[in-house]
Amino acid sequence: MTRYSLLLMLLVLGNMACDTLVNTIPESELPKTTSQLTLFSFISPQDTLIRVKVSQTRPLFGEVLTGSNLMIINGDTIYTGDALPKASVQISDGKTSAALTYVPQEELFAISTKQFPILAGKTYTLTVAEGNRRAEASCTIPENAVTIQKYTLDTLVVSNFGLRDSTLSLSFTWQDPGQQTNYYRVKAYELVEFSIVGFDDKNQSITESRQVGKFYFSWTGIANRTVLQSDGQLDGTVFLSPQGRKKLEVAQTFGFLNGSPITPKKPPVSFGISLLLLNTDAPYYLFHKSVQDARQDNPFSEPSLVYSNVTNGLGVFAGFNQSTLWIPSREK
Amino acid sequence: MRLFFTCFFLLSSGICFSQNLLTISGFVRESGSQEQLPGVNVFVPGTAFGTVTNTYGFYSLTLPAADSLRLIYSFVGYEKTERLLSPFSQNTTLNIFLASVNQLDEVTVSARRQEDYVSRSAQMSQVEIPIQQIKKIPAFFGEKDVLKVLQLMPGVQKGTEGQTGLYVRGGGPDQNLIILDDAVVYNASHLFGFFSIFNSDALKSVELTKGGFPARYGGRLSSVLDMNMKEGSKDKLHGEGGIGLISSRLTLEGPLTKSKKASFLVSGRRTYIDILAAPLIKSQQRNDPTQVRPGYYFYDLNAKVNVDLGAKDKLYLSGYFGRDRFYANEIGPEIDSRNGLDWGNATATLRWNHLFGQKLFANTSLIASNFNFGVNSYTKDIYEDGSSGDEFSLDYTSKIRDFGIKTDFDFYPNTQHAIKFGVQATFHRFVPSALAIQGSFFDQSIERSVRPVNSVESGIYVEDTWQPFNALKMNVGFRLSSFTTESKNYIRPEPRFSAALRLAKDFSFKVSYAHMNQYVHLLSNTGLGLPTDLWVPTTDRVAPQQSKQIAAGFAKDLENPALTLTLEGYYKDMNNILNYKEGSSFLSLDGENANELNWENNVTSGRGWSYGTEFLIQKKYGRLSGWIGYTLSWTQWKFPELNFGQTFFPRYDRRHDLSVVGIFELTKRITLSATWVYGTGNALTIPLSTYNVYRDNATSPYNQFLDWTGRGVNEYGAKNSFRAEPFHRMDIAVQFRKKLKHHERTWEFGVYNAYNRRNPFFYDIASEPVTNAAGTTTYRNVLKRYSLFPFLPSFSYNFKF
Repeated sequence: MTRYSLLLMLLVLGNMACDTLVNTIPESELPKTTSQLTLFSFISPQDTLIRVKVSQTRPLFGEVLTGSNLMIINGDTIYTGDALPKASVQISDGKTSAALTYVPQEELFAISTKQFPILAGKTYTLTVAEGNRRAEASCTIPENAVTIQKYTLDTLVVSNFGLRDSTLSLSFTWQDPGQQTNYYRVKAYELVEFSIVGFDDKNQSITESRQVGKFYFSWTGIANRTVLQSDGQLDGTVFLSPQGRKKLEVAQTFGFLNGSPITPKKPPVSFGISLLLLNTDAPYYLFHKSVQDARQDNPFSEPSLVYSNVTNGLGVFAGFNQSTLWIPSREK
Repeated sequence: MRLFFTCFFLLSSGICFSQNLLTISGFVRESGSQEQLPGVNVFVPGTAFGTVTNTYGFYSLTLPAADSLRLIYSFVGYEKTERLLSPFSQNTTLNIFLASVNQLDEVTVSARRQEDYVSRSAQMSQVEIPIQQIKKIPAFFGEKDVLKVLQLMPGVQKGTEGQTGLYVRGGGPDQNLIILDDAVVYNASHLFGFFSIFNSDALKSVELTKGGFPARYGGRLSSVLDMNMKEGSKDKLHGEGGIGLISSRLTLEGPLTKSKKASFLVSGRRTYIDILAAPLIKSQQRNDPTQVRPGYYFYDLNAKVNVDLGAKDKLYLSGYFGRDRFYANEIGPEIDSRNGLDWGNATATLRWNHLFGQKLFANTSLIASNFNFGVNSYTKDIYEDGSSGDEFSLDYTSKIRDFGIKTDFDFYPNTQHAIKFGVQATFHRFVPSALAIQGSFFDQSIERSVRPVNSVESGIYVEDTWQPFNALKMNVGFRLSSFTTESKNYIRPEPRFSAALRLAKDFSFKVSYAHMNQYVHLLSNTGLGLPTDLWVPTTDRVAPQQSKQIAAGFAKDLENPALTLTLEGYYKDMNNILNYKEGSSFLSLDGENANELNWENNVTSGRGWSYGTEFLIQKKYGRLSGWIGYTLSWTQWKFPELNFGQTFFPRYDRRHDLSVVGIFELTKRITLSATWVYGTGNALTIPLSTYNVYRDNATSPYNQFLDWTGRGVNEYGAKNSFRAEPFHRMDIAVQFRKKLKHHERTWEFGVYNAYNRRNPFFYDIASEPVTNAAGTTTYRNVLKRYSLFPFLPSFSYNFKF
């Protein structure tokens, strides 16, 4: 707020009220840009599917392209329907290669790892071609997965803007292998069976079905201890994850019928918690870090650039090797 | 240290062997005010014997005894004075008074030779601007500004329009050592960088060194701006002042005692935009229940007292105190909100001059300097029934406090050597940031303060201006600097060298090398001189910045017309320079790393280098005076954590920079002046296209993109790959002077941006509707240029008695 007041003050001083001090730069003087291919893919030996999101950039100046929709989620503008189904997508390990097929429901390209296995220590190249554009990126899967050593798991009651919630609190440690560069990413989810409530307008009736889903932890990290860590200056030491937190799942209200809330009859059932430690390659770390740091709307900070390892395009093709620690639920 | 004393004794003993040498020494002062004059040339005509008075006006020359000795004292703006000693057969003390050449009469004096030839000094890359000239150059809103005049010199560039920050040879505004009466000034700007804190009425001398730094200076990479305040006139009470559109100022100086052993100077300045605007703002909101009261002011105060304690001792006490305050209060039936920003510097210096005989001059200074900056915000919601609702308060402060002591000696063993040596120590205390947030909607108040950091910066130096033979003059120096943090001690040697080889009469070739270290850093992510820029020390993790600079060039003095020409080339390598990480800001309250108050996590260090060539043609006096300066330069940065490790041009890389300054004395009463500047546009990063990025970042089981979340981001091309449009502007002014019965008055009328050029201040993207022939409206993005100052006329009234 203060920063904007400062700017306002400057504008007032400069007689900014005067419109002629704001001028449009003629399009001929703007830097020329053309649309580029983008690709995003994260592969690991533990995955069952290789997925690649293929799209393209939209030049900012000139008319807004049609044929796609704008969606704003959490303040970010996201274009949907921007997939390029006609693109050709190939993955290769240097000896053999395979083509990925388009999955319309998910608007991405995929192939099963049964058809094209991903192996630790190997280098893969992804090639995307569309029209006369051709983008390419390579990544190497880290040699080994790093196992989780110890974890702590607690239930806390925390205050959230006046409301009290029961929250799971989680952290874990692992030993960094010495004499090699490592990058890590931590994840954790609770596997929960929960009800989906459907409402039949005609019959004024409620249907309830069960589904199993992954409910992810969110992480509060400080300084260098975030979800993404690097062993840059801490080679061979014991690493600690940031603190992961997640609300306990409670039966959700799906709506109101005749003034009374519709709540599922069966409460959610937790199967357990899965702790994931991803030993990633550099592109994975650099890309996620750059997106995390990208705050491009602050006039007083330098715009931060998003990492890319794609030649003749933008995006990232990265690999990781993942270890899992399963903590079964006590109630079960 | 041992080397130091060895040199000292060797040189001292050298004198013992030559029995027939005698010393002539003394002070050079201005007649009337008795102000001591630094930089006066003292020389024996027709020989290579000569010296220059030091900061306190002292000179000492050791010469062979002779039947007669002719000495000339010469200084720009003063009548050249000649003294004949016949015979010169004993050590002599000779104090000289130079009469100031009234600028009105200077036209007639101009034909006379002035002996301040640049070709004769070993120093290169130095800019000196007479204060009288600064007062005649057109200024923004008529506010004369030392720093903005320096920006008109080659090798010195401005950042953004109207800003006082100096970018010297590819260095940032934090790499300038700004000293006012020996005290380091940390934030030299008022009003978010639009005005400098230096009131030219209180200044005696301004000298900027861009390269070939003498060993007596250290602590910054790119330049030394050494300013001295006037001492205060000893003859009678004098006053000087002015009333302008933005501010008014008044300076008073005069003797303190009847014996005229002591004198004083007090100078003050305050803006009054807030006072003038208050009724206007009030009338605009006559009918609003909620009253908004924004305002801004700054003031500064300079004061100096000096006492003569006999022929050998002199005491000076000087101080500066300045403050800026910006506030916006909102008071109404539903809200009570008070927000403010304030910052300011305070410095104090106590100096003691002592003469140990005719050849050794000493000055000891005790220095205190303080800078603090604060943001405070308080908001309280008030319910309809008058009871208080949510309250929120935020206090952010950042401070630096220095205590220093330094002793400098000037030793003049013989005509071939002039030696300076000394020691200095500064005790810094930094409080980079302290934040306190309280609010009724938080369970707990947040209080985070970075622990104050104490450190000691010290230096010991020796330098010798040595003239081994007539055509060669050198300054050889060495400085050992050190910085002690709580657990680490950095000790860095800094060799310095500069030399001038005379190739022909008044034509010399100069070369210099300087190694510099900088132990305090300024974190800035705006490029503006905002007080939010944070001064931080070298720590265990953050290493000192270092630079090595080599420069070479030619200097030529012409007699008729009396012009000075310099052509210099330089290469500067800077290591461990600091910058905010991309996306970081001084106050990260809204981001993901809100908990990161440790600034060390938000900065990254890298390497920078700059090279270029500078040309200056200058005419310091005469009916038409001024200069033309041109700089061709390249500056590049390479940071492992910026731009993914690729080399890029920093924002203020400037290929071409041209300044033309002209002052013309139309008649004895009317002075016309004009400046024209041209500069290549800043290197900026602007978005070129947008795209979605997909992260491996699952958040909920309802997520449609499998486990991936998309986010729209901008694509910028390479960092700073967009060039802003070139900057150019002309300012003009006319001064009408008149001598009245008791005082002299000057009316000044000026125009800033005379041909109303729309220079870029910043660029932004806006969406504009476009309707096609079919009548459907689509939107397209356009790039908007925001300019700051159009054609701005100004006037001011100045007086002097």
